[in-house]
Amino acid sequence: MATAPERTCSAKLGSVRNFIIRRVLATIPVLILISVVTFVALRLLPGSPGSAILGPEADPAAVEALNERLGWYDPIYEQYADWIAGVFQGDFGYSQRSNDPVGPLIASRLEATLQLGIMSLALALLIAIPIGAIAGAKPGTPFDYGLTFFAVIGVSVPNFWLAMLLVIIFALELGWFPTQGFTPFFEDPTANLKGMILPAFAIGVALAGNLARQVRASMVEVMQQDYVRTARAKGLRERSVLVRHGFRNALIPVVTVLGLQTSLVVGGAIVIESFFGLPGVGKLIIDSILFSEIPTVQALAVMIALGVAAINLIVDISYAYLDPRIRYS
Amino acid sequence: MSSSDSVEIMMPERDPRFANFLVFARRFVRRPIGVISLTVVLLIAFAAVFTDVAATHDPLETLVTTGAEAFAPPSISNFFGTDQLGRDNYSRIVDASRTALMVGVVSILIGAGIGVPIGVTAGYSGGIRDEVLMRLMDALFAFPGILLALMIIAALGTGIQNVMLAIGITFIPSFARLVRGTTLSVKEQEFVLAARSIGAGGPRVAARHILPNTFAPVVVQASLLFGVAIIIEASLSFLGLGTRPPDPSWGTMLNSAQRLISSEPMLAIFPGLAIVVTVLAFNLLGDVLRDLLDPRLRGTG
Amino acid sequence: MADHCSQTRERIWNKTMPATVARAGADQNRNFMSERNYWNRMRRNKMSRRSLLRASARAGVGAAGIALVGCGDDDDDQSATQVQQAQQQQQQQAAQPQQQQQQQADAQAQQAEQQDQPAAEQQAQQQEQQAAQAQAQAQQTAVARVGELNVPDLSGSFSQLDPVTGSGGNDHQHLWVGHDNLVGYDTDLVPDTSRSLAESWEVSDDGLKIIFTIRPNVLFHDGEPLNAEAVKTHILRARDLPEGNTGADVQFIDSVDTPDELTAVFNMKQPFAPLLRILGDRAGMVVSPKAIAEKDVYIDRSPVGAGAFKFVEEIVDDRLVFEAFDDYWQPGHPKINKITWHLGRTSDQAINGMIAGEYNAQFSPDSAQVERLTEAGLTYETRPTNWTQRYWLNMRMEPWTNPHLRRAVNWAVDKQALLDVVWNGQGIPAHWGWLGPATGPDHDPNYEGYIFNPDKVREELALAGHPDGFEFEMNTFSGAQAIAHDEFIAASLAQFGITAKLNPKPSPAFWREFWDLEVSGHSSSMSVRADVWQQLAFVHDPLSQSRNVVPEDENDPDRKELVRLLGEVGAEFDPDQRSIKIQELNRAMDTAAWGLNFFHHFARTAHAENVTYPLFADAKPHWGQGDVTITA
Repeated sequence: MATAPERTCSAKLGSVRNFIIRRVLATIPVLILISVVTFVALRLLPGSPGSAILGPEADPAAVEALNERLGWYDPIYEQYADWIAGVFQGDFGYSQRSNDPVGPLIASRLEATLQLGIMSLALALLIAIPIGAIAGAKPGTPFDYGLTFFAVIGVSVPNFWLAMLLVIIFALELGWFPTQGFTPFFEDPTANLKGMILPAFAIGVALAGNLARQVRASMVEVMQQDYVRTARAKGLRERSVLVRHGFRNALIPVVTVLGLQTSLVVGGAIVIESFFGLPGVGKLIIDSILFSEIPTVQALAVMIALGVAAINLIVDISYAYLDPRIRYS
Repeated sequence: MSSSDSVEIMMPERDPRFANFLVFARRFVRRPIGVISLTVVLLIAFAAVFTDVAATHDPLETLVTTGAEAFAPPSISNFFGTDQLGRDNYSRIVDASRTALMVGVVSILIGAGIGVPIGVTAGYSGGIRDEVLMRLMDALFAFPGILLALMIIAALGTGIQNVMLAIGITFIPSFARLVRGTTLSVKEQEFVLAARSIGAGGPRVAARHILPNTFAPVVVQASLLFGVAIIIEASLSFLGLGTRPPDPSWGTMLNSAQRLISSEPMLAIFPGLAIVVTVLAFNLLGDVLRDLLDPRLRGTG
Repeated sequence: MADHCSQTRERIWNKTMPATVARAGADQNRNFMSERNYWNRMRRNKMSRRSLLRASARAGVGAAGIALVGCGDDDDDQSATQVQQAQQQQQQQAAQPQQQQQQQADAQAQQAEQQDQPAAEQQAQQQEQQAAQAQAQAQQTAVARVGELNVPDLSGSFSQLDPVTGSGGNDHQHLWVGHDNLVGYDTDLVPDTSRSLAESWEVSDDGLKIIFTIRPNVLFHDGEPLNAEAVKTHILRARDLPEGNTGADVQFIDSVDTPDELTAVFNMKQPFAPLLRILGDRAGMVVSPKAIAEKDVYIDRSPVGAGAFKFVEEIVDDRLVFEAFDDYWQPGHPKINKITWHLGRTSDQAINGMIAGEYNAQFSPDSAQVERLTEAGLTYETRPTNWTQRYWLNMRMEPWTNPHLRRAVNWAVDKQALLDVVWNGQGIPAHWGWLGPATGPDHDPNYEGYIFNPDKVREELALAGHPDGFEFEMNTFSGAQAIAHDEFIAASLAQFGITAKLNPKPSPAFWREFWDLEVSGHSSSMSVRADVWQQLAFVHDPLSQSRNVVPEDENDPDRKELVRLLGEVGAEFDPDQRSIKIQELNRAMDTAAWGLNFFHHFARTAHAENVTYPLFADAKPHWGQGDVTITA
């Protein structure tokens, strides 16, 4: 699919701009759709804000009284209108468990998740690029098979099981890392990194598997291209061919999978943050779902969708910039 | 068109009908990884279907009736030892393979059953229908699979049916996008244009000429998503929101093992290995199928 | 069917009715409840006649309305005590069958002997305290506090930090740190003035008026003084707030008068003996009136009480912090600086954190991992309680409308084996109905409840018309140990062809579904309430949450009987009579089989060696007041 990128000259920037505008416009209805669908769907969650606030053994009459006060029985379109009007003013409602505004609540959880995401992605790239590039440079060799096999194992291991193994070996047996907990980086960088390595690894391995396969496939393809053949015919050293013509071009399509990885990072964070007791967005999601805390789930769903859409948009744009053929399709 | 389509599996360009099966089989046999992974898949399928034969104990029988020991170490009578209730871990793992395979099969049938028609319709009709359907798919796709499944489970309740449904729904956009891409390229090909030129109607063309061409990429995608389905099921069960006991599940076993991870780490090892082996087999099989069915990569692997 | 039912009950009645039985129980458990009659104790020791007269006069109550029985701090008139006791005995004797009289009198004499000693001590202590208080006011900031408590919180979430609106059994550990009660109780759940915001209390003979003398110089965390008006505001809110969960507890309070700054008079709609102890629970945790007025909030996550610790911050699912309150009314308390709960930890994370020294106190650690804690040099302590692991049934829903099926499942589980296999033996099987040995004099050691018996299961199944078993949906908590517990029960039932379809749910969901009649039962525990009455009423009182769970028909014989007995227990002020009635209620409840009681948990805690705190019979952590000590 992907070939060597053309140098983008200024004449083509206009089409890039058009492309960006088209993509942004296409994203808007998706976001509206997501907000409406989640808003309606979350009404299907069992329970009500009243029962979420008042707790498990609450008297049903008390729950009903509170629901009434919270406007839970108002028509759903009114509730949606209220909510969306609030969102545009940065007001996502209040957490039912803590009475904190949801926006700042989520913001306070971003630190752990962002760090986890960046560390796991970095770890994944560190593992995946060499493995994928080497395997893809010599397709069909036992070397390729071995590395590819490892990459496939990476995507086949459930992250939570890997986390359990890591905890058994590195935390309980060897005592190198804590089993749980989060220290903010700026409080104590060493403790922070110690605590984040196992979680980042648990998520990063699956990402690495995905990325390595993509790098390999892309490498294999690039190495069959005419310009690589030309480079070889020119008498360039194999190593130079691999690095300058093969590897660099092979990384371009990998950018697209990076977008998909965001989704995997968030998915991984949901399970792994709970497992390691990290106060991140992932843990917030699952706790909020378990406690039927609708304002938080609603805000998180929209924000995650927005985040994923934004990253896909950036990926698409950068890809379009790098590979002009996309613009015309 | 969203360019992330480009990362989906590539579709066959020539050979509009499904490849001659014998040729395919001959090629497949020459791939040792394919043969091994297929064997593993078949073994697991055998264990799942003939649980009574494969298991050494009744997976549900506890020490209440058997008088067995709790937390027995691995031995001849209990290959993988016993759990807190004195149940045989090996037999429970075997029993859980049924759940895993069933979740895989049904969720993919749901995902493909809804996703493929959407993809064909969107790709074939184009225009506003394409736009609406694909934006809907984009909306679904914006959620990480496990999150979407989690939200669906939270709304519908736990249990194996709901788990299969939830996972199936998360698969819809993958199939829809894949099939739409295939449809777009197939519909411009000569045999389709020919069929249309002799006056064949839209649905007929879609069913007779386009659908069969989506088969190969769908099979490849299914094989790869099979592993994803098993992992999502295990994750949900691990979080206590998936399969309900007494339905056996590797994820549920890991959930109970997690609590005892420090004192009985063995409990966590075997169910996890079962997941890895199964998912690995499906992923490798999927890779081989993709290589074989995708003419572009043919000969390179 | 009905025949069988009444037969069983008759048999039990015959077996246990003689008063000697109750005596035996009381003697055996003397150490549990050394001072059972806190109403009487108060009359003898804690109330000066002068203050009582003053209070009653201002309350507009004639002296005749009140049993004038006070003596106390400034009054050494022993004769008054004797008079009062004699009066009491007369009343009781008149009300009792001849055969019980002598024993009753014996018991009372004995009790009186026991009581006088500690009472005198306490009195002296109190005087000392008061003298010290004046000095202490100035010195208070100089009190040396040592250490912090770091606690892993397994519950994941508490419901609210407002005592009135919250409802979770896990909330109390936080509530008692931030709030002191109008009436506080000691480790055996006996009301204890030294732990109370009320200096003393008095009840009228007819039980319709209770007069509280409020402790002077008590401040809330926001600087507001505690006074009668504050108590009134709080109690009326506890009773009337639509979103509140304490309404049923204080429903019999008709109005509150505040004749002076430090006197609050509760006018009762009907006599209600459990009230004092109930005030040791949520309803008695007085909240600052200023906070109530300012917030009008149903969600109270920044509580303002008069407890030893002040709320600092809560970070959802991460931590909850309280720090020592400098103006706390008890001089020298609290003895530590800070308590931090690390929220939402899994049981394994908690244990590992304890071993690693990240935490220094944990309540109810995973019973399967106790050995790991002790091996790591941590102190592990237990005490029996009546915290009961049970399966809750809805008597309105199939299959539990059928009492035989309810009894069949009750007979079908080997409770001791369940306790040993799943819970590492950390409890006592519920072989005596609802009230285990930890309930002291209310426990009925001669009553035999459901003890695993396969023949009885088959018998009841046959009577129910389901000889080959039946099927039901079993809601359960989705935690791993809970699932193991329920799988054990399901396996036990499976022996008799009874299929329990397990349905694990996160914690708030299964409770809600139970109250909302979406499921016929669910598996969880019932925490200990301050008063036994509360615990029993929680599931059986048509006026409580359980209104939709008890049989619908008001003439249902079980319902009628249990409501009657519950009412009698509620109106009984005499401790011995009360115990007899509670035992009767226990038998009736167990026979009606409105639920399955499996076992009574131990209160269990693990802590670092240098940490001490008492274990209470309610199985809940009490870390407020001056309860926690940490040595450097």
